[in-house]
Parts: sequence; C-alpha cells; structure tokens
Amino acid sequence: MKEGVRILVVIPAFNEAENVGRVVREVRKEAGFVDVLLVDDGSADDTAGVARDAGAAVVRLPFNLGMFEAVRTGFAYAHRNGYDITVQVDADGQHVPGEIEQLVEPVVEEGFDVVVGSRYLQDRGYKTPLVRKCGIRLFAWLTSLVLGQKITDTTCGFRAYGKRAIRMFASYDAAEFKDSVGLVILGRAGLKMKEIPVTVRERIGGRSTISALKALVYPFEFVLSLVAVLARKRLTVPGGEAC
Amino acid sequence: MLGPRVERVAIIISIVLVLIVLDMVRRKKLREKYSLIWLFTVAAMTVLVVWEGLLLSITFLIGATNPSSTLFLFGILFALVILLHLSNKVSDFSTQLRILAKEVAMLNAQLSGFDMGPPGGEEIGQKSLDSARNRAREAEEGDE
Repeated sequence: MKEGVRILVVIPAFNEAENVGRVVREVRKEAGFVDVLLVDDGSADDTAGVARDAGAAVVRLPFNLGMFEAVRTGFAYAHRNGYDITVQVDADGQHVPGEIEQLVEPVVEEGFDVVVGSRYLQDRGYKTPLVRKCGIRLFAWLTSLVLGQKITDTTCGFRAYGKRAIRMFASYDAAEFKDSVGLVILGRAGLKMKEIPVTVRERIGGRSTISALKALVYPFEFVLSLVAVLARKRLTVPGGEAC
Repeated sequence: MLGPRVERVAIIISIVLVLIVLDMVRRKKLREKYSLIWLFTVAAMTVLVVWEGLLLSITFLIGATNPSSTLFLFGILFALVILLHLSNKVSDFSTQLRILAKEVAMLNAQLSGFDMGPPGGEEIGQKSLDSARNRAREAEEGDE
C-alpha cells in the first residue's frame, strides 16, 4: 500500500440542486477516504449552496461551459492541490459511491492510469434505449479499434484517473478530451487503462440533460474529433514519466 | 465586357469602402491587423475592374462566359476567406474565454474559501486513503 494516497471526487453539476446534496452526502458516507469537489457549471439554481452545505468544496464556473469543462476544472483543482487520484462521479445520483473504492483500487494497487466504469461489461440490469445502445456500441467499437484494447462503454461518467492522467488533463487545453476521444488521447500518450463493471442506477430526480438535437449531432462530432485526434501529433505526459 | 459605367460605379464603391475602413481604424473600431484584409480585398477588386485585360484572361482561364461572373466569383471568394478568418478568431476567443472562466472560478473559490468546504466541517485536503484505512483499523481494534 502506497503512503498517503489522496483522492478527490469531482462532481460536475448543472442545475442539480435537487440531487446534489444527497449525492455529496452519500459519497462522503460511503467513501470516507476522499475529498469531494463540486464544480457548479453555471447553474441557475442553488446547486453550489446545497453542495457546500452537504460538505463539499465548491468551485463555481461563471457560466455554463458544458459537463466536460466542469470535469476539467476539477482536474486543474486536483493538480494544483496535489491529489494523486481523481474520481469523476455524476451529480444525478446514477453512480454508486460505494463502488469508488473498487474504481480506485487498480490505480493504487496495479498502477493503472485510467479506470473506466462500464455498464455493459457485466449485465447488471441497466436498460438503455435501443438507438442509444447502437450508438454506444459503435463508439465503443471504434475506440477499441483505435486503442487496440477492448472498451465496452465509452460514455459512462464514472471513472478514476491517476496522477499522470490528471497532469494530462490539467496541462493540455483540448476540448476534444471528452468521453472516449479523451480515452484515445490518453491511450496514445501511453497511459494504461482498465475497465471494470459498475452499477448504474435510475436517476433520483430531475431529467437527463441530453437533448434530441445533441444526440443527433453527437455521432458526427465524435467521429470528427476522433479523426482530428488521430491526425495530430501524439500528446505526451508533461514532465516525463515520474510521478 | 464591362461598360465604363460599371467601372465608375465599382471605383466609387471601392473608394467609399476604403474610406470607411480607414475611418474605422482611426476611431479604433477596427484593428490595423484586421483592416489589412479588407483593404487588400478592395484593392484586388479595383484592379480587376480597371485592368480589363487581366479580367478577360482570368475569365478565359476559368472558363466563365461573362467577365462579370469572374468579378462575382472573386467577390464571393474574398467574402468566404474573411468569414473563415472570423470563424478562426471566434474559435480562438472561445478557447481563451473557457480558460479564463475556469481560472476566475478557481480564484473566486479560493478567495471566498469555498474551495475548503463548509466552515466547521472536516478540513478538505487532509484525508487520504490510508488515513481512512488506519481509522477503520483503529475502530476495529477498539471493538476487540
């Protein structure tokens, strides 16, 4: 066991005042070894206040930058404050905080840089609408092909990142880092990845933020940024291999 | 063939455009850097209108039947270049804006102490995996 591994749970949230208090409290209860940072992505409601009352550190973006930028703000925070591991957890309560320890374990014990939670590695009763399932399959297949490693779920937001990954995210400003294209960038930089099965619950309250238009544009955006990433030079982990 | 009238109209438009651009630069409404592309466009169009030989040979070269289509083609091309240039600038700005927003958010959190969790709560930044495990171990030992 390595000495003093410091872990930051980053929760990106946009108008989630309804759920976020419960989620923060549950994370603090189920994973007593982590600090919790809530990144409020320009919410109009009291997401930030609720999260702070529940015991999270809070960073508020001045306006909505999108989920991924909120996560990256968390990475910058982790980087500046010297955390070893960052775990991304959704604010809608779909992820099970009790599984954080399993997610972190491969990073701490086996030296993986990225551990991705997968809804499909093991059937745990998560139901996906057919169209979305086809899309996710396609993205997963493309990502696996490019990475040369099997990935079954590219869009799940329940992930753990080690120090080298944190440094990558904090140092490069590439908007294409999101979802599986981010995995491709990290994989090409030589980071080690692992997928583990996770349970994803139904949303506690509120509605999903994915709109029909976004869902329609997303596949094209995905393929375009994948091609763009492959056409660019490989990124390397800044500051060499040592951590 | 472009008539002398068209030529005169084109020159008047060019002169007015040049004056507007220069005036905008003078009033600091347009940076010198960005005015150049406009002035260049106007100059190129003027040359095409005045220098009939050039216009005709280009028309022949690209296979257009009418010299005025050549002028339109170039006009549209210049407009496209300028639009592309602007899109590029907008992309740059949005990247910069994103970075700035994140910086502001983090500095703001630091200033207000929001990055440290609620007052009186457990200090953020002191926990670690094995401190938690030690605590759990101690709790277990205490039970025994």
